[in-house]
Amino acid sequence: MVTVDSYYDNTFEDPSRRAPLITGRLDFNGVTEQVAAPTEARKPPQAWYVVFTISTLLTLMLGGLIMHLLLKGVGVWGNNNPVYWGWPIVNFVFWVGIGHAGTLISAILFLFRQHWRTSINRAAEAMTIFAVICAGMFPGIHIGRVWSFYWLFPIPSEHLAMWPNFRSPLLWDVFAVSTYFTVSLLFWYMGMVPDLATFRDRATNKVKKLAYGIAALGWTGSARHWHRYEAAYTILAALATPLVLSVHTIVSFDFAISQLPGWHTTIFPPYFVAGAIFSGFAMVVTLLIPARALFGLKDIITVRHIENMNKIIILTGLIVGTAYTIEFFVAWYSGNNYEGFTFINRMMGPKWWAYFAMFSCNVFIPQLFWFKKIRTSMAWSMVICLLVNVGMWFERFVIVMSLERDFLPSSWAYFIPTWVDIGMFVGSFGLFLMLFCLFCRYLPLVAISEVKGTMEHYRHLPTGTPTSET
Amino acid sequence: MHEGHHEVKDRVTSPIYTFGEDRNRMMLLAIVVGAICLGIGIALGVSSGIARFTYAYLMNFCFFVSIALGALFFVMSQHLTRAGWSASIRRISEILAVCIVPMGVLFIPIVVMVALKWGHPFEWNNPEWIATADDDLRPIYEKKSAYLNSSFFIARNIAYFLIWIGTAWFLFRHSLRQDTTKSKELTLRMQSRSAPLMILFAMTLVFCSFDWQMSLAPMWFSTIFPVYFFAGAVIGGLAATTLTALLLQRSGRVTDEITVENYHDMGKLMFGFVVFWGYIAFSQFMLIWYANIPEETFWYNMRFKNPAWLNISIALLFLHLFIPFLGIMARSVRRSKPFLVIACLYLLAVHWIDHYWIVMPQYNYDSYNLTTEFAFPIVELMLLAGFAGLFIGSFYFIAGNRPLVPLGDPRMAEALNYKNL
Repeated sequence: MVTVDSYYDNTFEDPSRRAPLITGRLDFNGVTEQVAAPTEARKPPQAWYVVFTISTLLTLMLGGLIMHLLLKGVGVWGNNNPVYWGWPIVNFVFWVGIGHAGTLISAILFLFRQHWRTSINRAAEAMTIFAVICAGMFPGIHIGRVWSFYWLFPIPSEHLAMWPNFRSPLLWDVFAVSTYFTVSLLFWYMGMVPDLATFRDRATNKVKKLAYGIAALGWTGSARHWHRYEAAYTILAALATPLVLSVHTIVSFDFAISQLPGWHTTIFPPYFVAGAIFSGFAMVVTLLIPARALFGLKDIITVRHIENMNKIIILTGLIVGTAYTIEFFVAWYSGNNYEGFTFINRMMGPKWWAYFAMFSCNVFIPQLFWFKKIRTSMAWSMVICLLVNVGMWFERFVIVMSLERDFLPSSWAYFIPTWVDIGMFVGSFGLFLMLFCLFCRYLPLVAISEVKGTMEHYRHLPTGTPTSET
Repeated sequence: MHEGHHEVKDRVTSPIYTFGEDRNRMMLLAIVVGAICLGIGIALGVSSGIARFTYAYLMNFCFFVSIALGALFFVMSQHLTRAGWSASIRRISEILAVCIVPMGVLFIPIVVMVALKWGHPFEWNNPEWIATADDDLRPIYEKKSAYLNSSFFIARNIAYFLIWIGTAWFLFRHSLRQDTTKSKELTLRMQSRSAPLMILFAMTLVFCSFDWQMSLAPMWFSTIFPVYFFAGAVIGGLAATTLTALLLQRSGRVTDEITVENYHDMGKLMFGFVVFWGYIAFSQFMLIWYANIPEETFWYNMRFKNPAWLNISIALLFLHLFIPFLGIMARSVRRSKPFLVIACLYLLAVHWIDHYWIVMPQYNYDSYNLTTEFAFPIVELMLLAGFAGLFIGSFYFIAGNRPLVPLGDPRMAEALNYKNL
């Protein structure tokens, strides 16, 4: 095996060889040591405590606000007539979108044999699951009578005295999101089994040994285990791939099957999916840049990984930008006055600032990634990816706020969120970050066994490279 | 994956990797057969009314342009993703992409039709078009004529072709130059230029699909339509590339470079895009059907009301989605050359039916009764044969005596040695 130094620049462009994906002269054992270090350290870094404490407090606030909502009713939100769908649906779509990168990285990039995915897939999958949890919460508490949530399931009518409306895309959401959650969880967990077994074998106290031991399902690393594992992984990847598309397609149907101008447009399914991948990758970059610094993983999650993700962000950002353009063009081309009004209203109406935020954050700002200096700079990547997430939240806000000016001008009013709206959105970030902190501390942040599988793939380094043979 | 398990190949070893002496004979044969079929097609078409001929010509034109664009997309996407596996098969796509040049020549009759303001195949091009509108719809017709008018149409279409020809030619020339220079710089240049060229490609593809196919029903609109056109085009480009590779190997050319691993991967991509096509087709249909707004549903009604067209519509669902979905799902199928020949021919055939289904119902459409005639597609098939002859002939012409594999590609070794696990 050839290894290279930490300061080796692996973002070079040389078509005759593949760049090393792991630096720092790490060999197989070195990778295990580095990934296990954050969970085996006696104490996590101080920053971890700060983030964990704040996010836990925010989660508690979220819980409190949900109680407040349940006791008082949905009137505590800014939702009104005609904006029946306010921030809760915006937050739902935002979080579901975030939850798309994980399965894209683990399933689609796996099928495309993108070896660089191995350093980031585990964290991205974990992030996906936490994001889907945050997403699922919003429609759950939006149904008004939360205690009747089970009406969403197809339970025979004699027990309910009613049937769920199968023609409603909100019901399809229940199936799409829960299927996606289940498969993502399975995929994440199954991929983690060999690494959990590694942790079990390295555990120094009984509690850890027992906990990791149970989670590792008796994995011994035998050839038969690996054979079954890899077959199952491929099948799960193939099954998860259509799910990446289907979830956000169904979410887009929530809007697009209606007859509302600005909502009913056929490009919504692929455009929502592209936007979801766009925001999901931005969130992965946002989380991994601090995580790799904090937990000493800079040699495993290298600059090249961040650069590749930034390239996907620019691609999906352009797809989203193209979709905006097509929508705008067809709103004019259709000759439909209502459609035309909606788009002009989005751009120049009372919420022009939201449209401006959406367009500049999603279409203009990511163009900075055309410059290699910027897409390989951690500070720039962090800032741009945060702005992309701001932009993608505003995209959903812009779409939902088209309701503000419906067909009846007498009901037009300026939508203002309440403190509960804002508190719940902030609280959902708390829940998300709290879960992610726990993940970083107790589970393998990187897919150890998969990373090792890719370390054989680069061999032909140029002469003069600071390397060592092991 | 490990050295030592098999010999590492690092250069082109096929005894024959050009067309050689066969080229002129094959080129002439293809062009003569093509010209004869085109002639018969024109004669048949004109005798059954010039209108039908214009539609049939447009649909076959769209079909072959979509193949060239699909191939162009494949080449650019391979550069952008720094793909190594496809290096050996990429030259075929590069040549197919340059076939956009003869398609530009074959576009001239359409320019003439539009310039002469015939009113078919493009209804909006009829000088009487606005006058035929109902009074309450006239403002919309007037508004649309700002985009749908002959001079703007011709101007922007020339721009599309200049962009496509420039892109395809750029990638082909650079790749050819690399055959002798073996310069790595050329790969880097193709990679970095592919990024902005891809943006131009996307924008031109969007608007060409609006212009050539969506505007056939000038009142109809669907924002997903360009994606539908794109999905079909990629299937066409991949199937044509794979089929060409298989046929070249049958004639004893490039036998060592294009391996069963390449075919396996091309098969995977075709499978993926078949599903993608189904996804896009379903999304468009589902949203229009569900919302049930007459401004949009009439486009489907045009294809559903006449029983013959209804049958084609339903058949398309099976032919273009379910059958290939099951047909090329298995690994063994994608690794079998004889079967893959059938699969590629099949995909090209259903892709043609897809274009037929999009374009031809517009012909003879009775906007009063919302019905459309169906006639056996003899004109369309003759024109297909004609276009195919000219397309294949230009493939031979462009390929000339040039290598059919990129000899100097720095990633060639990777393509020659990789294995699907």
